[in-house]
Amino acid sequence: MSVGLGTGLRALLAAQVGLDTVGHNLANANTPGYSRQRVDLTQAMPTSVRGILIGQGVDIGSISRSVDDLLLRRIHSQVSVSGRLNAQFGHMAEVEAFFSEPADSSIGALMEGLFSQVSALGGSPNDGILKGGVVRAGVELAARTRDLGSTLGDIGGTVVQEVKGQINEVNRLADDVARLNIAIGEQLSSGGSASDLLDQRDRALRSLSELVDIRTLDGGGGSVRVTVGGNTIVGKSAAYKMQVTKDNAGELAFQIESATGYVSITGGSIGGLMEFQEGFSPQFAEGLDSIARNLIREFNRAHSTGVPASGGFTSLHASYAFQDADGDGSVTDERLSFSGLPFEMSDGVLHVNVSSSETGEVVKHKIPIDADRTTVQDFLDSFNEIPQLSATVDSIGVLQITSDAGYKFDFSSRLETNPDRLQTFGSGRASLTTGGTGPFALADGDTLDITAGGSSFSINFSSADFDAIAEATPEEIAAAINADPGAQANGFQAVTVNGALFLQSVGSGSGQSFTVDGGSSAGTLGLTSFVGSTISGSDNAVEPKIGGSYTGTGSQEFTFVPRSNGTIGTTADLAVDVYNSAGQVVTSLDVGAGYVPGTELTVSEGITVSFGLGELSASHGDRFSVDVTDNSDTADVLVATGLNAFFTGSSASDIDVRADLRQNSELLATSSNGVVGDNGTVARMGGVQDLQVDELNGLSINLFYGQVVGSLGFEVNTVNQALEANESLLGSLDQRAQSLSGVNVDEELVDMLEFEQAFQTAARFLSVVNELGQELLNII
Amino acid sequence: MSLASAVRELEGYLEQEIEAQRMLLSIVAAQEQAVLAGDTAGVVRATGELERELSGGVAREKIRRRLLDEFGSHFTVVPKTLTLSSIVERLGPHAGRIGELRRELRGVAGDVMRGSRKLSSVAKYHQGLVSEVLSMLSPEGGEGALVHVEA
Repeated sequence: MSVGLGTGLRALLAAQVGLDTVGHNLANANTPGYSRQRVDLTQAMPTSVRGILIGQGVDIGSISRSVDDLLLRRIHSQVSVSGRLNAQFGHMAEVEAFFSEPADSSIGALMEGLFSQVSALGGSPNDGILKGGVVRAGVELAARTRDLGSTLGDIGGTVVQEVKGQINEVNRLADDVARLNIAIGEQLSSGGSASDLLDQRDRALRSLSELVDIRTLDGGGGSVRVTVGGNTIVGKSAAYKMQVTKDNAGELAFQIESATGYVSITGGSIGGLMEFQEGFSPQFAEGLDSIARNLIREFNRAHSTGVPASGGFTSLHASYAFQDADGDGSVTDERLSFSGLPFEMSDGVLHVNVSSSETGEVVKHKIPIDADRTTVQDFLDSFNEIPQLSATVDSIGVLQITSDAGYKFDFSSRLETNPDRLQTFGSGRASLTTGGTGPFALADGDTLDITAGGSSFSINFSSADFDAIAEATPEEIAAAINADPGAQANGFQAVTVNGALFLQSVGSGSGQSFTVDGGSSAGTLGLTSFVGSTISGSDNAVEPKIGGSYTGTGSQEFTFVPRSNGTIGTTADLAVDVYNSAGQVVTSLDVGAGYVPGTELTVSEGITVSFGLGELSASHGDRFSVDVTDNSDTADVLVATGLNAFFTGSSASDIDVRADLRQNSELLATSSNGVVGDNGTVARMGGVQDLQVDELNGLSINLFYGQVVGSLGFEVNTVNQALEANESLLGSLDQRAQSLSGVNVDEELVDMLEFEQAFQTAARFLSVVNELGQELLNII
Repeated sequence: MSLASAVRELEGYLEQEIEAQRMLLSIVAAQEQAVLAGDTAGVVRATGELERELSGGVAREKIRRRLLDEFGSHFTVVPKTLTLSSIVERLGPHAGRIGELRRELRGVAGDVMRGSRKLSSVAKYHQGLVSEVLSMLSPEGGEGALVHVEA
């Protein structure tokens, strides 16, 4: 009887557990991550009664979950991918929104606005309102660029905070998994069911997968070991803290306690944030910086050589300071290439024009730059050698250039108004060139005997005055002559033009003359044929005037040489040949009989010349040269120092319009030659829009910007598509898991209905069995 | 019918009955396993076998009544008062294997009774619980998947 009772109790218990399980399934039908449980029944161990084995009915074998571990791992992996893409997409979309294309406030629209204003100014370069428009458009563009640059930086800061917050969550979940490992082990070792704990752990692992790319391994005893980047973060019964730190390069990095080295996180939302932080964000920040930097450089390159309506500057200070790179307390010893300026200089020439406010006369000067050798002090010295200019560097390294009262300066490619400043071309001075351009093989103690100013004197050449007297240059010889007391006392001098040495009277007019008496250097200097000849001045001076604007490219030196002796406008067939830098005759100008003095003649490439009444002497080597260039700052000195800049700054974070220009738009340079109404500089600024820039892969700033924005849109779209595809895949995997592990309420209820009906029928027949059995027992 | 013939016939009946009770016992055991395993199909299948086995019991009951009437007339007692035990006692040394078969039948029939009672209780208990759960979960007169399934 006790055997039968035990069997019945077991059966009842089994039934109770089965129904409890069904109820548990139904109650958790909507619980995320719940896995359907089922009761596994086993036959109870039979008991021996007097040697006969009697069955003991049924026992609960176990309550197990309907799960597929491989599928779960796959889901964790996809969750990690989704987490990464989601985190990336969120911030990428944020960046895309900040670029706000094609809104009016976008960088693209504002850049268009600036160039549109420049274009309008090109039509009326003196219009003050239009100048203000250009300046305002520049200010707006700079402000928007700075905003965007700083926003990209802010997003970076936000991402770092976000990563730190998510690492805390990783540690919390790791603790949960470790705690559940212990609980599951205890439950299993006591023979109980750990299904619900396993579900909890699966949910924790899934949440962990959303944050980092994890790998799970069987840890034994029902536990799982979790690794991130090959480092254990959860062991069998303990979690190891993950920490945010910085690596040697100062980049964000992760470490897990008790592990050496850094942990590479490539998946989950933290992986996505890191990818955004290290890849996407810098890529677009750099793109924006490139746009800003090249806009600053190219716009300044166009503007800095321009001349404002005032006709020049009386004072200018640089936007960028020289830096004391070698730390010796002085900036002046720094070489220009290494003087800490944000933009590079190169070897070249800076043209500096000094104009007289009173006469309008412009004198051109050239400062040669060897970027790797010229020091700041050399550069200052070059400026200070220019009459009427002074250059200083203040205590913080900012270059300042100031002109004397009554003078202005600029850096334009304007033409020299008086190209024969040294009066070697039909001037009033007595003038005679030596033979050739040297070098001349003088010897120490050589002399040149001259009679001038009513006195005869001998000029002695000493080797101390030459680098190598046997290879004396015209400049060295001129300096030696001009230093000679006899020459100084008697109005005699030497100058060099176009590489040739000229001997001259200091004064002008027919009363001026000098005679080459001889001397040991006369032959060397090519003066033998003039020994004994008296060279006289003239009361008339040709005074050539250069006009027009240079339309050629690069730099050019035009040299004007009379083909014969004669008087301008009088002597038949008197012509002036014009040579270019290559020594080729580009044109011959007919200035003989029939030429009306003062008439402009076309030379070449937009340049004109006119001659006054005077006498030319081919015999005495008359000539003058004119330097023309389309780029008066081939060394990029102005861009590098920020002299006469439009924009200041060097990146998206600090771009701005020059402060004094913001306050006074009349400082805007519009002319490239100093002529009022000229729009050469405005045209160059306008040309920046389509200028192909090497640093931008040969693209124009506009196109590069378009490429950045296009690339941004493409990348956002790509990530979005990948995200959608992954979500779809994850959905499919979840569905598979749900079909295996999920609770279908209808199915459970239908099962129960069928149970009920079967039980009813069974119970009815069992009652009959009972009745008949009772009847049978009654007769036994 | 002579008494010896009646004894032989009773022995034959008892052998049949013992066999039938053993069959019932195995069906009840299968039924129990199906119920506990939640195997609805198994429960239905066992119930069908039970039904078939019970229908065979009607014929055996007729035989039993006829034999009891026969022994009643031999012993001149009311047949309903006769039991196998009293028949063995009255027959004395002529009871043959009836006493042995009676003990065997009592053992098997007792097992069937206990098994069926237990199973009946389990089935009723199950049914009660299931009904309770169903009434709790299924909407009152509502429509839905469950209604469709029932339909």
